[in-house]
Order: sequence, then structure tokens, then C-alpha cells
Amino acid sequence: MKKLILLALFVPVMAFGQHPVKVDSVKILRDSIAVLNRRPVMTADQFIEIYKYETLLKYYRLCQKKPTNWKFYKGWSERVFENK
Amino acid sequence: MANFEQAIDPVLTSEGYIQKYGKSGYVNDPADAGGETIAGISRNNWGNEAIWLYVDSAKKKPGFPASLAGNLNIRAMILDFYNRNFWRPLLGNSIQNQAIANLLVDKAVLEGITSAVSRAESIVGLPQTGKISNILIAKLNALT
Repeated sequence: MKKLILLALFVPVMAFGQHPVKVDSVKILRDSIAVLNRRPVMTADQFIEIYKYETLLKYYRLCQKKPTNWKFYKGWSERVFENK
Repeated sequence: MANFEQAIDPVLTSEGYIQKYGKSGYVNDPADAGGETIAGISRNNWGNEAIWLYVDSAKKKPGFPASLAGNLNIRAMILDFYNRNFWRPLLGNSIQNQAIANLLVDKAVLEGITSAVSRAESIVGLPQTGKISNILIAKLNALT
């Protein structure tokens, strides 16, 4: 088992030594990283979900501040999640 | 590019205006701070809107308020109202994702444009100005 692990570790090193990384490969790797870095941190779906929960939190705080608003809370929260 | 009618249809449904079911979204509840309201447009807040001339005229005819639901002038005015006061100020046509446009319009109608936009700015990491901007639109359109 240990031999296998050692082999697994050394084979890439050996291969690397025999076939130096080509400039094209480095460029491709750099370009790939640049593309990944340009990707937005969140998706549209995640934005929508966060937005909905932030909205709900706002309504909750409104009701906490003014308890007479609790009668609207159910309707408000339903509207947050029903509209697509 | 997001579509105005697709964004506003769910809003109108929430506001009680469902034309195909003959619901006009007209209410006149004395307990409601907005007073007389049609499809979410309250007379107390939007009393200068021309739609009220049509509503007042329809009151004199039989079948009110159900008659409002089938009135094409009323529908056109409702759509114009939401387009003018919410869709255009939110630059809805510039938003690419329909679901995001729907969400922003709905919350702008419910809470006001400033509040709806501020929340979006906060989530995408922009300073909260409450004003729609090309930077915010670009950030929203960059979401995949």
C-alpha cells in the first residue's frame, strides 16, 4: 500500500521532470484562473433567495417595532415567497 | 431583457386585479390608510392619477365595481401607472433576469423604490443609495 502511495506521489513528479510544462499550458491555466476570478460570487438564484429573506427580516423588524403590524405579517411574508 | 407585463402580472394579482376572473382589485375599506384603492393604486397616495376619473364615472353605472375588471381603459391605465411609476424608474428594460426584475418591481410597489433598490445594492456589495444606477444594473446582469 505504502509503495502504491509513493508511486502515486512520484509519478507526476517524474512526468513533470521529463516533460517540462509548456508555455501554452501556463497561459491556459492563467486564462482559466482569470475566467474563474471574473465569475460573480453569487448566482441570480442566490441573489433572489437572499433578497427574499432580507425582505422578510425587514418585515419582522417592522412588526417588532410596531406590534399592531403583526396582523399584516402573514400576508406580507406570503407575498415575499409567492411572486416568481 | 426583462418584460414589463411579465413582471407586473404577479403584482396585479397580489393587488387583487385579476381580469380573467373578473376581479377589479377595487376596495374601499375605511380601515385602510390608503383609502379607496384599485389594483394597489390608492386614492390617498395617487389621487391625481387619471384612473380615478374613470373609476368615478364607472360608479354611476350599474355593475360597479365588477365592471372595472373588464374595462380596457382601466387596464391600460393600470399598466401605464405601474410602467411610469415603477418599471421605468427601476430601469426594468435594462435588467436581463426576469425573476430579478419581478422581485424588484414587486418590492418597489410594496415598500417604495428606495427601499427595494437599497436592499439590492446591499446584497451585491454596493453602498446603499436607494437610487437605481447603471452600476447596480451591471452587477445584477453579471449574476449568472
